[in-house]
Amino acid sequence: MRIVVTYKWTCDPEESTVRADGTVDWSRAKPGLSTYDPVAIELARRLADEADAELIGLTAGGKGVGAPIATKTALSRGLDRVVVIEDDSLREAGRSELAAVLAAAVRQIGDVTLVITGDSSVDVAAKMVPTVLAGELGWPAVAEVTAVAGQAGALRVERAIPGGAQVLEISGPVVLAASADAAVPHVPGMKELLAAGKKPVDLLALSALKVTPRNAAMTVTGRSRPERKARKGQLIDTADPAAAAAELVAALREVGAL
Amino acid sequence: MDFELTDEQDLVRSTVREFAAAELAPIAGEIDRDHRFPHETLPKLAELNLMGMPYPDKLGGAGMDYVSYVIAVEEISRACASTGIILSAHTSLATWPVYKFGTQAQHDKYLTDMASGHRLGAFALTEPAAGTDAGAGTATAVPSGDEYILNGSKIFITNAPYADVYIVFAKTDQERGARGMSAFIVEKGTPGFTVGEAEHKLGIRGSSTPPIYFADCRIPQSALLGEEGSGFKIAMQTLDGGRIGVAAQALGIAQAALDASIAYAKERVQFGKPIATLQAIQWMIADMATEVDAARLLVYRAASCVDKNVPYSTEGAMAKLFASETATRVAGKAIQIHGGYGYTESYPVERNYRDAKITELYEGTSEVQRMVIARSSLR
Amino acid sequence: MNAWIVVAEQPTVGNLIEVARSLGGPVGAVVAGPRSVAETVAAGGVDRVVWCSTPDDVPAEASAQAVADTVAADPPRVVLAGRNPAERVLLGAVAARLGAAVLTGARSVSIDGEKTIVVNAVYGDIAEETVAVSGPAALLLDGGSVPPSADGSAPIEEVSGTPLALKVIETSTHGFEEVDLNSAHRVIGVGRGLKAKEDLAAIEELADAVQAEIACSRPVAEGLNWMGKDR
Repeated sequence: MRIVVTYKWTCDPEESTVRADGTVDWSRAKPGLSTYDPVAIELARRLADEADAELIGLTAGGKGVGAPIATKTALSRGLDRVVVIEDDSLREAGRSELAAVLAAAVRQIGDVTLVITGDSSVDVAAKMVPTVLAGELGWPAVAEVTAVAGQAGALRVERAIPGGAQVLEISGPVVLAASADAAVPHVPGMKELLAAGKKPVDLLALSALKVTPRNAAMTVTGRSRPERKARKGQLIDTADPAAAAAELVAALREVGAL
Repeated sequence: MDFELTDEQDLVRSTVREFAAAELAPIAGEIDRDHRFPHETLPKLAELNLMGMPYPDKLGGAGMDYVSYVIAVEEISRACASTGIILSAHTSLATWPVYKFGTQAQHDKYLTDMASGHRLGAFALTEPAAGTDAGAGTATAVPSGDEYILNGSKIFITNAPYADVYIVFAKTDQERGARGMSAFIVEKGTPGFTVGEAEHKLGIRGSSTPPIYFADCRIPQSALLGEEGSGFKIAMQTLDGGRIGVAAQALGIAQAALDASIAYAKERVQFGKPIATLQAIQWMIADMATEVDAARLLVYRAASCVDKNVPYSTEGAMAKLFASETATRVAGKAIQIHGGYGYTESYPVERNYRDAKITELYEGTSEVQRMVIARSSLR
Repeated sequence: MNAWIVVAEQPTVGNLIEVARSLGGPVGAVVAGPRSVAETVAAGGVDRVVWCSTPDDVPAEASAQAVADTVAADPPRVVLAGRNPAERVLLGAVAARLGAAVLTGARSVSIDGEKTIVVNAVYGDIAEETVAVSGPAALLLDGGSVPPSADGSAPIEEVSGTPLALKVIETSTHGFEEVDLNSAHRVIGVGRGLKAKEDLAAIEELADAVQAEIACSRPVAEGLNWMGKDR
């Protein structure tokens, strides 16, 4: 049985700067695993261990996603092997296009009955790639998943809904997007780090994949940096609670909040 | 000359940093304030194979290079200097002599457990009247039938009383000075072996350093580590490597102080601007950053010598000397940058400052390091 | 169809209807959920409503293929959905079926001849891009509130296809009162500066006094569980 977990190797926007013309400067950002992907990998690893399944990591992106540091980092989190599509044309890919590439790869890997993804990526945070991926595969998708148990074909899935939680029974292949708090990822030990370097990495050429073409095209015709309203950053000393309260009320009145 | 770390070394840094942020940083202030040994941390370190990183996999270690080990000590110390010394004293001072000088029987009995972190080690050389002049120790180990009888006292023993395995140095021959010293492996709980009250220290308060006492403590002949009379040499060689671990600890402390200063300088507003815009602060940060980077290069270079199996005594001394004095300087400047707030427990730099000083003292004072370096330079 | 709106379980799609109407042309809504939701949407100012009915113990996500079928049968320029998980799932199925472009940070949507122009916030809102889309566009937007009743009501067409293999076997509530922070006039933000859960009471008092909603940083909701995740 095969479980695929998708991950992303990318930069955190916190480390980027936006130029006055609206373009983003990533030169000082160091790429890493997207913040909540280890949660998805942890969830998938536990399920794979229970079900005695092979856990395959899958990623697609621009130059660098197939570099040894990227694949070793992903593998060290508990994957059995990784499948990587590294093609610079994917650097600016839209969510729909990326999902179609991932779907093609899942079909290529074969015998996959469960795909687990993170909640959203640290940089784009669209929350749509997992759902379009499911649509491309013709499978159902469930988001905000907090727990999974069972085998593919007979899964018990817990997910958050407005106001509470729900348990679902899923009897066919499915894409599950894990909530950021679905699991606390274990920190890999030193032996795991060393073992990661020896696990298989399959580099798939984009041209060799049967990707369903998009019927829409996007062109960026303008860029801008939104006006950031400066935070007032006012710190009120609370040594004297009564005076502090008066100062807070005055400050709130001054900005029109009261 | 390649200044880049390997992918594995980068991964060691990011992984240990993740662990340190989750498990060490949250309790670092508390164990310092309460002078509390972090028992709960040891199994976590062991689980991540961090307690015997440079030792072969089949002997219980992680089979990693020394640079990776040093990076791990640095990242651990950056979050908690007490945990940094607990680990490096165990790995470099206690486990190394067993690895290097132990018999097969001693490897079987102790090494796997120590390298895997299941048994904690300690190194007992220093005596009340024998610190830098370690060869003048007066602890004795008198042969008696198929045993030795240990008598004497040792002070400032990191990891006592929690350690299971103690490397103890005592004179088997009182007439030959340093050359009469031998090394022994002594287990916790051996009758005649007691531990005193832990010292109240300026810094690394989470590390336990009590005196230990031997009063007609009988140990088997098989407890002898190496040959009779080679104890001093074993101690000195062990310290050669141990000081690289301390250098890494100092580096971690310095980096923590620098990081805190940069973050504070960007946030603290005086005269309508962040103080990071003031040249006085900028120059302090520039000096701190340069010194920390220079320390890093010396520490990694010394570790690299260990990996290449070339002599590392001088290189280790240089790294320890420079990194420790850097840590003290940088931590002092960090408090200066923080102003009055830096003097309070609300900010971590006062702890960095208190933790830094010990790195100039233990595992060979800066004076000893200078002796080693001078001897090498003036050869 | 010019614009389809995808609705799952709740009729909080007032903003979507407004945006859809602003583009001119017919507006349709495909609804997966209780019939009452379809009725509210039908009275909210759309021209056509398709209701994918399913048994009670089947979640909205199970209608994803039926929703995609509906939209594909009358393909639009844009498909809009709100940000709830079920809505994202349905929109994903539609986007895949149409081969549509997907944008999730739309600040404004307008028409320029054959193209749909979207001003899209990117990378966590640090920058904005103006994107011209040719072909179908699937957009994620703030759903808004329940739409007020308009004059008249669109007809509801019921379809019941084969739902995907998902079944609800248990539902529980977490007891936090859920609020819509977006429609609050004042918001008080709190984080881990609060030492204990009991300190929230002081904030609640302040919130009552000034008529504000309370919002919190992620750790307060997720790690500490002192507030619901909607905050």
